[in-house]
Amino acid sequence: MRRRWLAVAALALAGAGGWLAWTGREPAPVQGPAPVPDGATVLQTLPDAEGKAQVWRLERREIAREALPDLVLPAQDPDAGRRETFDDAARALDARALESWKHGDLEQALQLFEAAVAADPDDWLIHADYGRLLFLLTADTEAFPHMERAAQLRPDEPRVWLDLQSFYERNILLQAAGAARERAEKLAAGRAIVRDDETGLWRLEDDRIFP
Amino acid sequence: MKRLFSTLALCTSLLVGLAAPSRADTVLDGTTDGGAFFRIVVPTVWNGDLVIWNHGFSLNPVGPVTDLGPLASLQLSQGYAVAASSYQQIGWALFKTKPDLQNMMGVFNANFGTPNQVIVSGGSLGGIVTAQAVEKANLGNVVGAYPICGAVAGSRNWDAGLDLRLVYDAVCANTPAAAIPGGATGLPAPGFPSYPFTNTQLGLAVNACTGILTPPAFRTPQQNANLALFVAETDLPGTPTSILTDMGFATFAISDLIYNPTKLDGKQGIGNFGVSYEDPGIDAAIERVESHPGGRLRLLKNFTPLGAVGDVKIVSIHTDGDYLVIIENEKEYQDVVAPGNLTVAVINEAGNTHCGFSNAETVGGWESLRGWLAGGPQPSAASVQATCLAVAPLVGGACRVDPGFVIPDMDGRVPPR
Repeated sequence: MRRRWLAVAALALAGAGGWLAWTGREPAPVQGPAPVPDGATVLQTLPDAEGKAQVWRLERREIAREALPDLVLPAQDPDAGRRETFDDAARALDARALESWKHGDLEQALQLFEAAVAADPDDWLIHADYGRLLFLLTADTEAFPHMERAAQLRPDEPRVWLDLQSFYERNILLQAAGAARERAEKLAAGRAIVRDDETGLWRLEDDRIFP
Repeated sequence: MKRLFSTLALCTSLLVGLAAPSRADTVLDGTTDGGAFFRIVVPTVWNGDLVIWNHGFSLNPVGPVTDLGPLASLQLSQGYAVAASSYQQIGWALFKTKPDLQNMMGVFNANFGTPNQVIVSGGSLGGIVTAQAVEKANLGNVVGAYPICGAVAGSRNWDAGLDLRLVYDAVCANTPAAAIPGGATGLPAPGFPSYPFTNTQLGLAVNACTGILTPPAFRTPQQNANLALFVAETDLPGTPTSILTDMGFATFAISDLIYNPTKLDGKQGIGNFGVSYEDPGIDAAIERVESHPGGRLRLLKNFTPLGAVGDVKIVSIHTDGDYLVIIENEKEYQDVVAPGNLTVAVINEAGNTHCGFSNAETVGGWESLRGWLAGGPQPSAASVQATCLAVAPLVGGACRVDPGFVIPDMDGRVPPR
């Protein structure tokens, strides 16, 4: 008798476990397109280019207009503070990098910029100079983190926003380009902004792109 | 008086749109493994119409949509739903953009109902995606289109890309450090992204040949001569941005186009047999490549406009100095689309940009299309300029439309073949 009850209890436990596992599974995709309930994520099949069913994950929700992900301009790094003094050795590497660049030795310039960043990762000018060369090389994926970091470290410097305007413009992110330009104009405080004849990048009139 | 009232109405609608209080929108995101992403946004107060935004060329991996276009905020505030696809292909994505947009529309219709009107828009590559959607995608009641700096000559642009690449090889043959592998296929098999060659390597090579990234005073006489010949042959502005951006297309993008199994699958779809480059030295030295007939046909089909736009009203804006998608694209488009369907407004810019529009210019073109769709007369380039000037105080930026600009023929810049 006792063995029978034990067997029934074991079966019941196994059944409950199976039911729990079954209800926790993701439901099979339904044929789409079909309405997605508010706040839900569903799987539906839609035809691919060859007409075969392809599974799509569809998520529907309500969000405030301002929360729509958009390209946000870099914000000041709250941990960085505004530095007035910089590492001399790092700045010296930056200067040597610019000198190499001036003489056309771009490989050496890139190596020296890398060394300068390693020597002082929180120097806005090194990031700005390195970012510019990478951007001119059209190595945008490598350039952007440096351009962004320069803006985070020195948000009151118009040059960093003009460099970003050039970046956003070339990547056809026109709203971001306009926002970066607006910020630069406010900070430029009347200084003229021009497009550099030699490189096509935006700069302050008294700045240079080429070293 | 009539003009005063319409200007006042335009400014009022913009002011209301721009100053709209914060609202909750319905967002529907779609993702599929190995395929496209899309995003649909429907404002709480929806006017029943939909704007589709088609983004520009990118060789970055396909990912979630965050860019709904430069006018998304305004369009949502004006009551339009806005939708955008990532496309499932990188680069020249025209081989699959039809199903990409059709799936997105199917989901839209199932969830929000069929829109009263659909307006298709896009920038750069997104311009030719827009043209393809108008002619072939059957997205419902498409009534308008707004391509900006659009590659609307379609596959003809790749003739220019091939010429650029082969001219570079001919000009820079005298500089070993300038060699870029691949020639007419852009890069050797298997092409981008598998073939190990980076943007930095490309920039270093081009600089070795032309000194384009070296201050002019420090370029060698050979570099100066190479640069002058390269610029003369390609008609490119002699800036690093223009030359290196275009060389990126002539290298990475061509190799993806040719080697991608879902695109030309190894077929040389572009060639230069019989092309005259005007410089006898270049003509003698340049590599001659025959296009594969099947490859060329497949490239033409994906896509070159034929002008079958039906009743769709199209406003297109383009900067005259575009260094990447040259202004001559618009002449090719005008040659196939009936004049009563298409208004082209050319922006006279001081230098050379790619899609370097001001806010006022993009809004001016958009509002010109909206006025036309609302039953007004077909805008002209002059009226687009006037609309730009009317909105500029609100949205900012210059208005540089040149109503008298005569768009040159593409054959004059990209030799026919």
